[in-house]
Amino acid sequence: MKLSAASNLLAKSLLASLVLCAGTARADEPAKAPAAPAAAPAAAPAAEENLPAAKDIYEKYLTAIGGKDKLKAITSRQMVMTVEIPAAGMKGTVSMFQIPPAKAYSETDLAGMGKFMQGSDGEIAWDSNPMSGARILSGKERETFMRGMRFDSEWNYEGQYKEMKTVKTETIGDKTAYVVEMISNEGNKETRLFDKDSGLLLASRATATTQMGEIPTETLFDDYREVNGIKMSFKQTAKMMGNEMKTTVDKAEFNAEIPAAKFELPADIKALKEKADKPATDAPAENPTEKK
Amino acid sequence: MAPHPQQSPSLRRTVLGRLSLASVAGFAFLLSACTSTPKPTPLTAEQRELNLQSIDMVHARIKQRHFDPEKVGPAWDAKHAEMRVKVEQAKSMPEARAAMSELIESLQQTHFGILPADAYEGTESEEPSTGDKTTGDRRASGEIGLDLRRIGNDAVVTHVEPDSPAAAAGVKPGWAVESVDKRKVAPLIARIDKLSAGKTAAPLVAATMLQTLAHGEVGTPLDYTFRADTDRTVRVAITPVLPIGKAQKFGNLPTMYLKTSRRIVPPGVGVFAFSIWFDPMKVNSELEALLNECTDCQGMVIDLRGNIGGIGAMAMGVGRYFIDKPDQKLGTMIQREGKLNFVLNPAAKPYTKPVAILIDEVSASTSEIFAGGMQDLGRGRVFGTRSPGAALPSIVEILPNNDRLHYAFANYISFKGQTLEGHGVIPDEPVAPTREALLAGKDPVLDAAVRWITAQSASGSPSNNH
Repeated sequence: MKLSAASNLLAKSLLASLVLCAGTARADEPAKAPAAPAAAPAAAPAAEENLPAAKDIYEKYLTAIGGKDKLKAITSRQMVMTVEIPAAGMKGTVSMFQIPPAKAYSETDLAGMGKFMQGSDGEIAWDSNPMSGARILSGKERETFMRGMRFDSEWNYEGQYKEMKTVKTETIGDKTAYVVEMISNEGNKETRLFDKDSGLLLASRATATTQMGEIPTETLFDDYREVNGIKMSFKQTAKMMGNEMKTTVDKAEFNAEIPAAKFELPADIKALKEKADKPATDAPAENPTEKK
Repeated sequence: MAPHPQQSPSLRRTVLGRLSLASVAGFAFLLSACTSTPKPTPLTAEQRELNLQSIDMVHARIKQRHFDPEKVGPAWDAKHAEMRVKVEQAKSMPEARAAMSELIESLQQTHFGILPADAYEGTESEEPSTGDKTTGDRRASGEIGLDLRRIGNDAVVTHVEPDSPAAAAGVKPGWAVESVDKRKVAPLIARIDKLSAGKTAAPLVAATMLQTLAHGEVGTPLDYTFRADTDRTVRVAITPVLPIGKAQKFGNLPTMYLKTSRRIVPPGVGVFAFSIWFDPMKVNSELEALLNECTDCQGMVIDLRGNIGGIGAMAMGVGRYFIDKPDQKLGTMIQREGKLNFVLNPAAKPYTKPVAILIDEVSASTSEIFAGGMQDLGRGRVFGTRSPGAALPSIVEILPNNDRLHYAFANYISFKGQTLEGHGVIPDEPVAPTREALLAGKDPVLDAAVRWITAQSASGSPSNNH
């Protein structure tokens, strides 16, 4: 899981669900054939003179947040966060639990909306809320979700991105950032902006794949604090489709024991899986809703 | 004497709250024109400055986010400049709001409006009303528990809420309100016609204004005169209670009240009604309960008459119970930044028998998204009267002067490509209630839906909606 973007996946789905009056989503596009595992990212030359190589920028970032060794040693993470959509006057709380390599569970409670739950048992990624119901993610949406939930995606970037290049510098507030474009093994483009001085991640830009459509997203990261020797952003602002969602980390803890039951599939997701696993002959021969 | 409902500031709060989702353009202005309010307090220099900041925010926010940039071009800028002068010269809050409303009304679209800060006062009770006028916040405006619709030139009772003050007073569907506190209703109807004529979603504006007759100050009796069956006159005092239903607080909206009902009518048809699209957990669980109780039923009726809308995504949450195939959608929301589809994920045990959807001139916004989408998908047959065509996805933000700005940021197109805004959903079977039928204890719209479901069942085509 990307340490600095802990709540970002959730923010995308929530903002789409709430402000935009829409449910969280599953990929509209068919799943692509798995890309061949990438070796190291292509050593693309810097696009502008005097810009450092993307790999160097990323390594500086990993050092800035605590170093690879500490990241590799993480056995779990749990967080409590507050999410807010200021323009709409909405607020809620998020509880998130993760263990490597890609088990996760999050629960978001928003006044007037009910509970939004997402998770992964390491293989099956799922989503459940009162708008879209319970569903198993598939295709590009699953790929994006699982990659985001992977604990090693932060430090093992060479295994996650097939291409990285530094394209320019950009000013964010009073800071100068290196702009690094990254292409994932699945072909998704992501842009990350790293502080020229501290090396920390200041912003990321990507397009979220949801069941409802593609949602271009920009997330700003602020208020870095150290937790168990690892620096992480405690304030994030996600901007998408003209709306803004703020996430504040209220409590974060690494390496605490989390009961395995936390990552078990909920009953309704299990039922969906069983239904999907049934032989096709069990399916009804005709869909009566199509009769004319 | 109790204040006439048209004169009650608290009444205005309730009605604004009830309508805030549809937020018909200029409605606040219309309503204030329809009421006589106390002499306004002069503005302080600080309030004037905040009002100027507010109209600037109204202009900027809508210019930035309106889904159609052409709507907010030079003409929008010019109107802002004109109205800004009026706000600067305004001597009272109503005058300042009127100027802001005039700016917004120039868009001629629904879901744009100014909600006065005082619409939020006294509406914050989270407890459902028990009908006991002695409890709760007495400043909150109340209701007597009936629905009114314009039928001919009458304000006719179309529904009486069980266990409400109106029910206790013996009021029946079909009765026509002749006067409230000795004030005649006929002139009000004429005035509503005049005020709503030519306005966007005029039937919704008119219907909501008419509904003010069923509201008043909590605990203060109102003297009603009804023309009842056989045209006998019934005079009765009815005391409004706190709003009936489960209080809903959602973001920057005023408190709204959700009423749900589920029942099975002969010869075995489930009927589910709810007043607003809020509290998805409650609405979903009530619907699920009915589906479980009604497994042997011939079909299901979703009654959205009087439902002004709410959380748009809930249309997907309810729709998914009635489809059994993935990758279907109700429609598409279009905004400047992109498009989002309202996708239906089939419920674990989808309901596959016939579904009828009832609408009227008040079934706005999310009700239209649901009814129009289900109709397009061939999964719901729509009965009733044409919906108002007030279906723009919107948001409510707080202005510097503490009023709220309700504005749309997206257009909505139904599955088959119909723009709902300004058009509405046209019923497959147009049926309007008549006073005679209501007096006879009938519900012509529901009766038509039940007849269709029964016929479908008899013909053996369970889900053929057309």
